Amino acid sequence: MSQARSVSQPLSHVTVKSGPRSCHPLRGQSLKSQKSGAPQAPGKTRARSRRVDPRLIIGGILVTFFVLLAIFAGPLSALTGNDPYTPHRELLDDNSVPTGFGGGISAQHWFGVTPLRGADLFSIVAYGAQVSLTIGIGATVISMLIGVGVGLLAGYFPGVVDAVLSRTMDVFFGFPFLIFAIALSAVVPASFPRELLLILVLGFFGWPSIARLIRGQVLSLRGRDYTTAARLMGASTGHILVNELLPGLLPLIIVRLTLALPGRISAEAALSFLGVGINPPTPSWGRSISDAVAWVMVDPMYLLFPGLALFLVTLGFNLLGDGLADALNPRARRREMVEATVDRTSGKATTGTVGTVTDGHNARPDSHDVREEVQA
Amino acid sequence: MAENHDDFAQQGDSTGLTEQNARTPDNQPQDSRPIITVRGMHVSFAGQDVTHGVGLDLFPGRITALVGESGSGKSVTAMALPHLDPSGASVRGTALLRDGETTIDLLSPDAPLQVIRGGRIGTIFQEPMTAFNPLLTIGRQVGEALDYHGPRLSREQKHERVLEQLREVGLPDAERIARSHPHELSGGQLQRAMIAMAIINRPQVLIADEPTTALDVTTQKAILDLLGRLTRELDLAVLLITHDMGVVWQAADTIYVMHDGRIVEQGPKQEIFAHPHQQYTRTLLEAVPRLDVASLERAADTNARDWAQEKKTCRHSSTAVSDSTALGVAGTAGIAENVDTTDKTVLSDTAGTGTGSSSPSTPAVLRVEDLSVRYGRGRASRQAVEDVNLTIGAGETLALVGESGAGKTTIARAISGQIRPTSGRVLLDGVDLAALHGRRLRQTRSDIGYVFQDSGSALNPDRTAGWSIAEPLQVHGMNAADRHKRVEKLLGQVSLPAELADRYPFELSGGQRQRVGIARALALRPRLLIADEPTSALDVTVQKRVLDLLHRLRCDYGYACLFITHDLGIVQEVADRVAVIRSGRIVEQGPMVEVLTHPHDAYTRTLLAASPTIGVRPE
Repeated sequence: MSQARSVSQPLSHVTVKSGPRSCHPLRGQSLKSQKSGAPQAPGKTRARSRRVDPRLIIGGILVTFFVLLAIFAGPLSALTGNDPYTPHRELLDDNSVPTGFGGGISAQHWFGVTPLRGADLFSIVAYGAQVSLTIGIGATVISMLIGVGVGLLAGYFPGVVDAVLSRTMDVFFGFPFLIFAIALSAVVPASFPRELLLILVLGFFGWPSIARLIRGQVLSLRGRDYTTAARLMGASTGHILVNELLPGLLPLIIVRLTLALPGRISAEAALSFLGVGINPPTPSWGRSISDAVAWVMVDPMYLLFPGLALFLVTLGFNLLGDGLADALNPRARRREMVEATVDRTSGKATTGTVGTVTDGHNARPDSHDVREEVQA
Repeated sequence: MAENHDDFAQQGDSTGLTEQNARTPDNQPQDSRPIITVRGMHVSFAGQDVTHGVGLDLFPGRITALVGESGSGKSVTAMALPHLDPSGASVRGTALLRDGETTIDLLSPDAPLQVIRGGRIGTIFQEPMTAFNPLLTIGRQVGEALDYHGPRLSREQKHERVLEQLREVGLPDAERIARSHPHELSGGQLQRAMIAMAIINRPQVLIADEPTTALDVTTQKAILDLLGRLTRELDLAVLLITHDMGVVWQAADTIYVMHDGRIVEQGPKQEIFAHPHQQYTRTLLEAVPRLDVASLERAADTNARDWAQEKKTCRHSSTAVSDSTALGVAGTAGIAENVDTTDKTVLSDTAGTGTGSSSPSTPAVLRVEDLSVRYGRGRASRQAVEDVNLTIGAGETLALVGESGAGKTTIARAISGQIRPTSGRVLLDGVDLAALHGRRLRQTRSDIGYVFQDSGSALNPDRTAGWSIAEPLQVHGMNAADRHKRVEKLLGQVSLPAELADRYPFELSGGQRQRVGIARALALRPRLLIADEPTSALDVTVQKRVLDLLHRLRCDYGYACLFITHDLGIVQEVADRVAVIRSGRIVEQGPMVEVLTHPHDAYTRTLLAASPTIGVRPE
């Protein structure tokens, strides 16, 4: 693995061979840096400046692309004089299926038109990005904030606080979300913006799974000696939560965040499918996908474009989050060290670090999977 | 229950020990040809050699010790023999196993592994607790080895064979042991069971990889005695991998010293210990904390107090250094000033103890009165600590000695306020911690520094070393510029280069991490330093340096120190007074020299007897 990587990277200013490091990681690094006597932590900065994580680049490009698409949906659609509402029945045949190549792809209609109404599909995808991303990000942020807060408190204060918060989570888990959402959409006046309603509903039902995850991790981190050390030096609870525990949770939170986001977008799609989400004709990826399912045999492109958009934005967020989690986290490089641990007793010396990685493991298998896929 | 059996087994072995001791060095086993001959072994990872041309001879009926520090390559060398080397390793060289009149090259890729493993070479590991499958009984796991070697046995025959083997390794209650699951047995019993599993097929060679590192000193002695007896009775060739010179002295016949992947010295035990040729061997031997009661006794005969005083006295120069550091920081932040004034009173205290004799008038920094701690409630509760009384004066080090589970750490946790005592009081400078709340409690806690056993877990992996050291200062409101200065100073005091402040814990070695932990504990100039086995996870040379550092810092800072350890050698090195704890009770307490030379309690005598005492000093 390390070999493959060293081949793929340009050896610009790096004079250090990657071989000895993987064999004798601790020793090699400390010796080197002592010799060089550089003012900054040389091991770290050198390692980082070696290359920018390709996941960050690809993920960043994808996410930026879709955010721009959402922001400039109006002007982009206007380029071809389209909007997501105007029907183009002249492009449909007798069965209301678009004529021409790929569902009517042309210079005028980049993604073709929808069956039945003949609306411009590119406009639908672009405007849909607005709705889907707003709801997805908004709902995720809300459930993240609540989930992390509740998880921190439940994990750090065992006893009554934990019991109350954990039972609350259980209630939310057992709550018939769908029925509640349907009922709510009937009760809430039509003047209340649907997007905001969806954000709130999805946000408030999304936090318990996050809280439970965070709680578990906090339980393991609060038992570590460094948390005890902070308590012993007279640190306040707030200091410990923010300074000692939160950094250890950050990778978990980021990975969870990027995984939750597409889930929220799908949930919006599901609700829209049931008719309690975004009302037609407002475009959203979710509704487009659910509409397109009925037409997939005669006009597969109708499904393909919004589906591809959802797929790419999901991939983008996953790559970005994964790369970010590693870039923020000095532990990431240890995985290589652990694999190459030479002596059983030197393994003992790094047990603590191995433990910290593996503890986070159950929560972050996805991140490793993605990493391996990308490198393959 | 488990304890009793262990004790019984120990007695069984101690008879074995006397026999072993009776054997004179020239009474070597009859067969003088080596059973395994290793020549030119290179183990490499990713094309990089980690061992360089290692050569070893293992003889039947002899324990050969392979000694070295972490990363010296001793484990990969040994584990390459039964092809148990970690994945990714490639091995070159030859290792010939004499098998009757033929030889097998263990290192060849087509070596008959199933014959070798278990059949010719048995292996036991460091952690008996994790080496067994927790879901299966011991009997089943020991018997499993029989399935792959030798003739097919019926269930009854197999069971009989297992029981026989368990008895042979000093587990007289074999039926019960065989029925038990791993969690029902003690570490010593499990290690015995593992030895039984390793030798049930009568291999010629036994590889023991740090077999006693996870065990208490009395259990360690019993296991080493057992290994010695089996070596003799079964004509086994034992390869003992260890970092502990005391273990080597207790068990080995021949020694190979390994350093950076090379054998740097080899020879008979007496020879190596008395006349080490290599500088590295010498360093290794000198670093071992020696329990040397004889020298203490001699000293006690002449003048114990003077002797101890001379050893413990802080040189004046070091006091001066600390004075200047105190002045350097003084007058920066308000909090720093506060801390510094207390510090100066401490310094004057130290000066007092340094010049005069250890006067009883030294004010007690820590006073523990009738401390009892119970874990749990109702019927399931367990008495962890009972009626403990301790006093530590300024500049004094009290060593709390005991085996695992005796309640050492519980006492430390109660003193530092992590757990509330069930009854009794802990007074720090006359203030009862349990009576304090909120801000006052947090303030008082800053008078206690705590050094943890596991340096890996003691530092936040997401923070740099400098941040960790500065954290207590930040908590108590020092501004960033002053923090930076203080961190630099502290790093200097624990003998670390200043640029280490920017490193993350995983970029530091174990010793460096422990130094960072000590610097953090000292950042607020504590009145009391609690050191919970601070060196037990470190290599012996690193341990020596950390102990020296702690001694020097005690002179500089004048803190009272509660030093928790299980190693009487370390006690002799660091302690002024000793408290011996067993099952939550202090069984003996007194000045170090007195306790070690004239122990009153039977348990103290057992501990002393079991502790490795290296009788020879390198000349």
